[in-house]
Amino acid sequence: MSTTRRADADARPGGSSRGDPDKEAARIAGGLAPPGHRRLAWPMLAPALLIVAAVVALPVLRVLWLSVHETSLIRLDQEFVGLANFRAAIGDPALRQAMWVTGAYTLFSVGLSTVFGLALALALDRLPAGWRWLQGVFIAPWATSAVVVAFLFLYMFDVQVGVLNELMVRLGVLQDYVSWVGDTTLAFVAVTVATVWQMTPFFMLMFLAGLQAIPRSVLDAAMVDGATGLHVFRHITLPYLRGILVIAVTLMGIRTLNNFPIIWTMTQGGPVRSTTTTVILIYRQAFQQFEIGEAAAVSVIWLVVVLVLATFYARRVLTGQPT
Amino acid sequence: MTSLLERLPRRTRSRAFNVAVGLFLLVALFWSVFPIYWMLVTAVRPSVELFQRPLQLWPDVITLDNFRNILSGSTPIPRFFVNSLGTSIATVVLTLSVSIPAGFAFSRLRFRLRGPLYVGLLIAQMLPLVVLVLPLYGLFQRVGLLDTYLGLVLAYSAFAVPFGVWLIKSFIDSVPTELEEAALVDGCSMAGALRRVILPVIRPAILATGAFAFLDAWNNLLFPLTLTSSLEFKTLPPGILLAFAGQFKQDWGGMMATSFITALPVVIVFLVFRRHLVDGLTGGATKG
Repeated sequence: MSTTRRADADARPGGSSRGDPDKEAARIAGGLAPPGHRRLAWPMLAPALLIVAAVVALPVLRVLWLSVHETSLIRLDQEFVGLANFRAAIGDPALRQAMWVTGAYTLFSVGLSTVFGLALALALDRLPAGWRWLQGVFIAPWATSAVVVAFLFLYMFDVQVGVLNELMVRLGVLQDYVSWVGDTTLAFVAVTVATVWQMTPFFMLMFLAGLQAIPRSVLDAAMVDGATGLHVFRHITLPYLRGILVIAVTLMGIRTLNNFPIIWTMTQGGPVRSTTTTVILIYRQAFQQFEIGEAAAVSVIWLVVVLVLATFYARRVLTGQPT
Repeated sequence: MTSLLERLPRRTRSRAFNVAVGLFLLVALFWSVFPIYWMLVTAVRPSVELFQRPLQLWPDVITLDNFRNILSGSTPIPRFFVNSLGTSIATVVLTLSVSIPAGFAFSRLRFRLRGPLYVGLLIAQMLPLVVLVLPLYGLFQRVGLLDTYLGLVLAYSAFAVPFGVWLIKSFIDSVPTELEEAALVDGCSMAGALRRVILPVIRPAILATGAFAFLDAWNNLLFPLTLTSSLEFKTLPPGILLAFAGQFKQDWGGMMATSFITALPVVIVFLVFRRHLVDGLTGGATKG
């Protein structure tokens, strides 16, 4: 009991360890609060924990239960079927295809957003002080609701009135208007473009913050050594941004793997499942085909995939590793 | 903050390179701003202009017809707006009232299961909403929370509460403990120390948590799409899907006008709380 508390106290970040030993010992034993106040912890935690238990923990347990039962939203009888739902899900080519689509969608979206975000951050950081307001303008896409982003690109890619079609025809890229969301390859491109448009400013903001945290002394030292711009970028800027890069990519990676509104609004997973990611597949199985058992099984499989990534992220955040 | 440029050796800034950077920024500016410009232009021009060829990039006539149609149209978009606003604000209130004490407890108090519970919260905010909504539907059905505002607000807090606790906890971690120690020595109770000493100091974290909770609830499509069925309880995201994806698909002007109305509160929240949002995100990434 006392050893676990000690470990907790040691793990507390930001706690000052100086001061007289008695006071320090008391703090380690009881946290900050005097012994009588430790009872306060649970009343303070209870409301938040109850909510999370009700809308996160309970649903997760319930989806585990659903995944081994045959059930439906309409009928009330349920039957234990063991791993039948998992066998059906894994045998279904739709899941394999959805996983590939999810992977490609996430890879392209996050990859392009990272590159554009980094380029924007580097360019904006070079601007003189009077131009800082531009940062605010570049954030605009990120401030736009996902459903609005989806509508906007649906409209701009439209086969009859789409302005992107018009611009590309005028620039000579296209011969004629193209039905972007009606074509299996182009629908994937359109959805990815919309996602990149919305997500790029997030990376820009993160990298800008990272650039401003590079200590002056490091750059001065580089200057004394006669480093060129490219050297500075490769050997100072990039290593300093690595910590932020890893966290931003993981965070947005998880978000993109689970992106529902952009894809659902633009294509609803079509045409012919070409933009059906795993979350779209789960939604369709559960709320359109009412195959609750199989949807739950796919959910459990997906939960494991996301948990592995989330744990990686949580470890980064908890340990606060700079690189 | 000095920019990287000011801290770099002078000869790394060649003129040609600067021109290239300027051009890149111009293209990027067009790419970022044009879609938003196009939304506004479409919302205020007569629909016939959209079908004219060659397509004009600026409107000939400016009209508010599309906005008037929203008010008088068959789909109750004003109702969706009020629902969105109400549930988003309620989510902010609920999130703040439970995450401030919990964040304080996680940062300052020692209790059993503190580590596992904290990791659980960190992971909870990253779970796919689709995975949660399937069992939530059944659970809500049982307790009569389908088609209610309370149900929506509770569902929104599945992300907002864990995120808020984490953000507030990280922020309190960075506040020196001497402040409350002094208050406690002066005979303040623990709750009094939280209220009088911690609350004013963590104001930025409170604003960031509130802003994120609002944005997340406002933008959420999946929960209101599945957990409500009657028009009475729909919010804007599923509402505009209902109104414009389907038989009225050609009403681009109406769609863009509604999109503008949907985007506006978010943009306002962003502009007002921009600094706090950025600090909340980057602080979380750099400090933890």
